[in-house]
Amino acid sequence: MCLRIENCIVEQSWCLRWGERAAPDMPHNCEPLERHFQDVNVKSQTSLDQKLQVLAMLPAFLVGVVFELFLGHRHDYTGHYAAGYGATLIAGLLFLRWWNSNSTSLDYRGLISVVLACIVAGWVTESTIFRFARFDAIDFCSQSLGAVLAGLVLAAWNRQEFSGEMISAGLFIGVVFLGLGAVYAVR
Amino acid sequence: MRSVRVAVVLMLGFGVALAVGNLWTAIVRSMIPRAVMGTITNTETRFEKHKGKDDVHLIWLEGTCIQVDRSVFLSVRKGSSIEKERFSRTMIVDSQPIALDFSRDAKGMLPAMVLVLAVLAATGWYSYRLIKIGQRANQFPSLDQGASASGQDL
Repeated sequence: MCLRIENCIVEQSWCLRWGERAAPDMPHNCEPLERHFQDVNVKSQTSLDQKLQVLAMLPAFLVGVVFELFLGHRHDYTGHYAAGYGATLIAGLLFLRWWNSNSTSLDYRGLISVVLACIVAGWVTESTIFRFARFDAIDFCSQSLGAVLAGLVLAAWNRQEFSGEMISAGLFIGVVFLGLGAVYAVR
Repeated sequence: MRSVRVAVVLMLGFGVALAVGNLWTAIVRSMIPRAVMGTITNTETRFEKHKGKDDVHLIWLEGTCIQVDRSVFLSVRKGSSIEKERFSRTMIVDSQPIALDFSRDAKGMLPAMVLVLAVLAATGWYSYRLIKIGQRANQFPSLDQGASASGQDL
């Protein structure tokens, strides 16, 4: 039995682990197996990317609904939260892309740093250009909760190499939430 | 910090602190958690973006500026003498008892922050799960890598 078959067998267990069905008539030559597992790899990557995109949208949307449901009389709280989420997602994606391309292994210091930097940036803007009557701790905490949620999403998005499609998708989601934040903050 | 578990737990910790901060800020404006005694030296309403909706009501108690709910603000005036025990729902203003209640902000903030934390926890758990899926997928060598490592021609 050639090495390729051994690799295939290892990957077969991996495929089964992720719920993919092995080929019903598993052939004993290498070529169809290779094609089968290449297809499975592409499907798995596509499926993972789709899950990551859902992860970037669904929890953020749910938190926005919670804010509107219970604090709907103050749309600006929802606006601050959404803006914090969108801005951190955009900044985090761009930063992690740069950080990971300059490091040899994946770690999470960059992620924590960018979330903290966004929280501090939110505090500075809330104390200066967005300070109308007084520093509002609720505005600050709400936008920082958005930043933390973006950090949790970015933990899953954190990878050594980002594909162009994933970067575009992440930036698009970030811009949408940032725009929603601006709309709700002045509503 | 290489561990994703530490990063996720740390961020959930930030989330809990911020949610508690939100809730405490909304509650403390009702004056209920405060113990106060003294004379109000000044009162002021400042306006934000939406007059009448997000106004900031301030009172200066013995020189200390306190942001309060509208209902508290309307029950006092400059020169009022106020007295209140910590966590009491009654405040004595010029010898008259005034009943205190939580604002709409505080009442909405409690369920909102509980649900936000639930979403944060679920997101952290799901992120962690996706990271593990990604790591497991990467730990198997590709077919080409396996063959070239053994020097065999595919």
